[in-house]
Amino acid sequence: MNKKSIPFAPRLKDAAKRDNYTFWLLGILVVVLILFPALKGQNIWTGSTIKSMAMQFPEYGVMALGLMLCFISGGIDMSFVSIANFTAIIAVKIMNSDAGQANVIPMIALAAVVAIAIGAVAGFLNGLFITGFGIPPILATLATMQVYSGLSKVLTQGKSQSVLDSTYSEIGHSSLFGFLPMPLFVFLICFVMVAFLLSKTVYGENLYMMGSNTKAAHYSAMNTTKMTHLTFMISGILAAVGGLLMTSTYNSAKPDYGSSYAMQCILISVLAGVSTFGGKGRIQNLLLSVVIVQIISSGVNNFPNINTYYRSLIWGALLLFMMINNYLQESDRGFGKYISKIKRNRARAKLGGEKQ
Amino acid sequence: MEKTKKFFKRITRRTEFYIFICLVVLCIIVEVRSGQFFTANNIVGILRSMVVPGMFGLTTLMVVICGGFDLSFPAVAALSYSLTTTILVNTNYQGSIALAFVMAAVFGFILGALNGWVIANFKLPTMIVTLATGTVFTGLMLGVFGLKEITSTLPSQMVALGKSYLFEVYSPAGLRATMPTVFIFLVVLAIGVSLTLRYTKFGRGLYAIGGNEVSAERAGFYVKRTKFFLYCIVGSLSAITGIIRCCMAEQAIPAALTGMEMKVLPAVILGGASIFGGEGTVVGTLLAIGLITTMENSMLLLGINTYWRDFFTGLVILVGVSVAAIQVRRTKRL
Repeated sequence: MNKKSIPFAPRLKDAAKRDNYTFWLLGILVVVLILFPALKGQNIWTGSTIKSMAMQFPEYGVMALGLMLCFISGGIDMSFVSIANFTAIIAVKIMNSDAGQANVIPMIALAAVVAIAIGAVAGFLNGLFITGFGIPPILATLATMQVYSGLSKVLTQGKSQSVLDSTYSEIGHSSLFGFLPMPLFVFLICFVMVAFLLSKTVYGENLYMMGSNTKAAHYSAMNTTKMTHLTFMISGILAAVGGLLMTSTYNSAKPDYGSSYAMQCILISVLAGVSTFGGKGRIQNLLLSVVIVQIISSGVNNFPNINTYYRSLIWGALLLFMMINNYLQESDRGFGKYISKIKRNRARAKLGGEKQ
Repeated sequence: MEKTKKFFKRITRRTEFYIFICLVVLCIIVEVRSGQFFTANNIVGILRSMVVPGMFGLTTLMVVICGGFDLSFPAVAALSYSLTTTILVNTNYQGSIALAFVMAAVFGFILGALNGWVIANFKLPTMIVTLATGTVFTGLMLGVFGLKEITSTLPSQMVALGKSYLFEVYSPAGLRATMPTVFIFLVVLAIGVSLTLRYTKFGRGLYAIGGNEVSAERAGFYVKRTKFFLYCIVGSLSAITGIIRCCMAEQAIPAALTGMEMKVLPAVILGGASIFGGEGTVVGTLLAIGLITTMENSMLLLGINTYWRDFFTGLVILVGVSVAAIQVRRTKRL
């Protein structure tokens, strides 16, 4: 879609609407950055805290990228955590298969490649169930989640698989150029790739349209089948990458790691303005929302009397709040009417000012 | 002859028939492999395992018919029964069990009301909303209230209810199984839901709203009220089911019901309830829950390692949902 081909007035209104959300998210980021030190009474954002945060959020950050793609396409992927664990377990088994020998790095590389390949296959299977059988994505991924989770349990007999050689964990905890933690580097690469996909490729443009109205997209000669397959494959690959990151952090793989990541990633996506019905969501907002969620997570960690269960409550409540808020902003009733009126007047004033 | 032909033609078009066939085939397979399936104690054991999932399945059925998905019912049940049992234990309550049920029902009603309020007033995808509320309830239960396990100090009346049975059976090998009294709850709920769905305005409203919400509203159904009331009722029923589970297990563990929603919901879809709402029967749901329960219970008889259990359950769910989806496709001719 050539930007110059769209008439001026709708483009302006569109831009005002879009930028608003990013600025709003930046505001939330600032609020959250200030809130926790203020509550605690001291500065909690030390260098080591920031470094550990930068190493934590890539795990679920890459998974949130995949989930965002699925959301934009109009579907949802609930199986990504299971895929992550499943591929991680297989990767650990490969890495352990000849521990103590000299060729550690090639084995790690092989394990990573196999894990990503299996993630792609798992995603492809998801897509197959959705397009081939016509199962709604949510049910298909719920079912495959069970299948992969079950397979993980079979492979590990319920125990956690530790990585015998410490090289992998060392790589995962190392920093590139002296300051960029490896997980963050991986996340940034994935982020740039997904951003490129969404904004500069035909697939990306069509994805938004498919999410808005799948039938119309289908009748517009878009290959929705292929796009669904590709979307879920990418989600599977990113889930596998997330699993590899988790493995480097915990130095082991287990069937039930990251059980709270499902909720967290959905929250990140909704916070980023991704509509669960599809067709909306900007990638830069996702970066902001991942950082915000990580800050909240680390901030809450500083209060030891709030145990981990509070965190799921916070995620759930935040998710509810965000969904209701997004709904109200879109709708034409009550609170939403007021907001849309303000926006309309503002855009009109801007337009009037520009014309003069 | 004509009548029976018509009957068969009508019945083979229904999903419930195929679930029934699958159930029969599964029973035969297990019997062939182990020779112990059709023993009295095994059948009673399966029926016993069906009580709690069956009751959850019936409440989920009502939600699915209305077009929603409820992923929060285990959390509602867990929070309700944990609160109830904790309060009863802390006050050393030894009286009638009715109070436990009433308290749990009230808690469940309030929690369901939150679900209902959000779902009825805002057009949000119900699955994600209930996922969020479920997480909130779990967080409340384990974080804010910090409810702990109650294993040996359960009120005596509850333990008594769990232990009481209608009759006992013995297998040829001398294994004993009892048909618990709480099975009556399942039967009563099944009849109640069935009658509600068929003969009350509320029940028919669920089908209407699930079929096409806008048309239902135009036809005069109070969509918001119905949905809100539905989730409140489902909350109460889930809470009661939770109490029954405590009685049967003779313990009240807050985390005991996690993951239940992933089993029950696909089972309800398996049983013929349409994913988009507007269709579903009690018979189908019970058959599907029976199928899943039989499969899980038969793992041991089939000699399958317990670790395969989740995988096979997932596989059955996947197959079932695929079949249901293909059927929907065939009728809608998409």
